[in-house]
Amino acid sequence: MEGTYRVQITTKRLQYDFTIRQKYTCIRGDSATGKTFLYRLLEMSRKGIVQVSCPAECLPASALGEDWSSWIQTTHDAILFFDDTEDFVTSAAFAEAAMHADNYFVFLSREPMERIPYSVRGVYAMKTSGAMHSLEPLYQEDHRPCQPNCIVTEGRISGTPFSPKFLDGKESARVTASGKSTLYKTMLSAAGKGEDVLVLADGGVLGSELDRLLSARDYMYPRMRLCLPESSGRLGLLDNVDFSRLYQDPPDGNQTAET
Amino acid sequence: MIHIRFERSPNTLIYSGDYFGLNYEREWFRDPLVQQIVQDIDRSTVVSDSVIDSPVLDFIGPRDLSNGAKTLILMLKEPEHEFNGTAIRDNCGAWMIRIGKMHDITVVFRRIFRFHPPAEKDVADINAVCDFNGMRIDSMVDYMAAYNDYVLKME
Repeated sequence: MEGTYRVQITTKRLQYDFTIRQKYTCIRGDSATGKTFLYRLLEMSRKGIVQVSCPAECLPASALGEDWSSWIQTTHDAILFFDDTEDFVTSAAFAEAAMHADNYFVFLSREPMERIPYSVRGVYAMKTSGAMHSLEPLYQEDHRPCQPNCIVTEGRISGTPFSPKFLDGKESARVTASGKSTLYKTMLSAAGKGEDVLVLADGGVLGSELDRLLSARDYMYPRMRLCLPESSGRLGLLDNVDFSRLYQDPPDGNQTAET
Repeated sequence: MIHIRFERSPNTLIYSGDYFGLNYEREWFRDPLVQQIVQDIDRSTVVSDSVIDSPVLDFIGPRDLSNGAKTLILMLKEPEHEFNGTAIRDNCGAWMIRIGKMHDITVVFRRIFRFHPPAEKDVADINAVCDFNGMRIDSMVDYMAAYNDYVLKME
């Protein structure tokens, strides 16, 4: 399943109009912004009470039943919506089934879901304006000056054009986490020593980690910076890093990462 | 006081919204504090025991309140539960602090809960303790310190 899908739901009192752009989408935001009600409308659409306009079939996870695993694998080209009541979405079995499924997944949950490789660009807040509900990206690009003396990377970035070959000749100033699940802990160890840390990681899969990384920056380590290029070559959330200090050949936005 | 945990236990009330729908009491909605929660979180007005005037959904019952409002009301009326922090969004933080000053509540957070925005990181009114390490949590800086201590020891 590929491409973008516009979802429109209109009732007498409420309207939803948003576009799903990637395989995994997380919709977050404050209480009482209409996330749970969206899920209820999808359940009502199964009874024909509400019309959902979308090129793909939009289904609430409650339609999957107990045997959700085989349902996910046998259903194709559908957009599946999950809310906080589906606790199985945090399981390894679900992550495995979703990875091989030819569907899109939308999570209406505040759970970090470490096993789901969703992009930082796939996280949205529900935006409410009167009766109209839409989505806006939760994480915005934020350009801040950066002069790190320590770079924390995760395994996926190492060896790609985005990984720094040197840092003023100090190879020891780069610390590599074994993967996204240990990235936060590795950052803590470096930042806790008083280093000005730049976290360089694959934004394409780091959605579940971004919240706590940003919290660490916002509340404890204001000089910490994040650079999250996506493995597709796009530069994701990018603090204004002076690449001339980090690379011999500064990457551009069209460069494809080598694996 | 708010007792903060970073891991669920078998006692965690995961589906607080569903629990509320089956167990709320009509008399709760005569409490001015409950009425204020409904107004602050759901921007709705309690008309009578089981009727709430929503600007978006028109007249609704208590079961149609947001999960955040339901969970806060449960914290106020049945504080003995171990609450699931996922059901509560950041805009419920002020009320959680206020309820935590009335009686002890226990909340499980599997993520960073922003009681205050970064500009107010040193505001020391949270009145909480981390059950994992006994660290006192009064500000967001304290919260992050307790959370990071948990991460360094457990992950």
